[in-house]
Amino acid sequence: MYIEPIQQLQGINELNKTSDKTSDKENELSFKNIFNDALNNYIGAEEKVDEDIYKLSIGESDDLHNLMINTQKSEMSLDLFLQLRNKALDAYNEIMRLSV
Amino acid sequence: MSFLQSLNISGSGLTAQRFRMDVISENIANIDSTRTESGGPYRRKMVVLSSTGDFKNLLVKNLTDHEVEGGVEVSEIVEDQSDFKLVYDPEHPDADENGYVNMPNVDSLKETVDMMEAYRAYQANITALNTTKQMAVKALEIGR
Repeated sequence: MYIEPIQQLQGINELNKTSDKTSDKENELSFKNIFNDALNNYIGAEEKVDEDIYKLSIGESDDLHNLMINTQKSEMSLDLFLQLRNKALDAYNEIMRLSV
Repeated sequence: MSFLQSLNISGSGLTAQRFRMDVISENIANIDSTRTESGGPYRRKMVVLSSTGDFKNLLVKNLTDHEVEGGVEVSEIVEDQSDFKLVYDPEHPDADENGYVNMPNVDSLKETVDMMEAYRAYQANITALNTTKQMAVKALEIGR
């Protein structure tokens, strides 16, 4: 005789999911994560440029414009990263200047 | 990386226009070719471009990922089916019994105009790309 296994209530699962999501969101919005994302963006873009330059120099690709686009991308992600670092340092200095 | 994604749209345009330029070069190079692998004279080739992704997919993607991906791609290369040019040249090895040779239907004037158009479109894509980049750079100057 086939016995159907007891199913978990769907409604409870949904509740768990939403509570997970809010905690994820809080993590996503922390400054540390934004900073890490910017750094990883830059590292990824730089790796891509290195690979493109290598391929171009050994004659494997002739994709000049995509190389230039990737160069610009890495340049801009470095700019973004530097701006974030400056803002963080500014905030730190501001706090250090507080009179006690 | 989404703030840099919009550069890829212009990138796809650049790739498409360069490919088009390749096909135009092939047409010009084969302007006198009377023999091809498929037999008969060379036929002029044209590039058909299509936009990537239909509107519905883009909308759904935009609502879920906040990422717009678009651009252009080469969908196919078609051959110009217009008549070959008949040239009277009895000494030519491919001449028929009346002394006429079927020459490719490539018109150098048409190819030159196509070439200029491809070049201008390439330029326009580069301008769009630079403007996108300048906008991002300006955004980083907020509060400076």
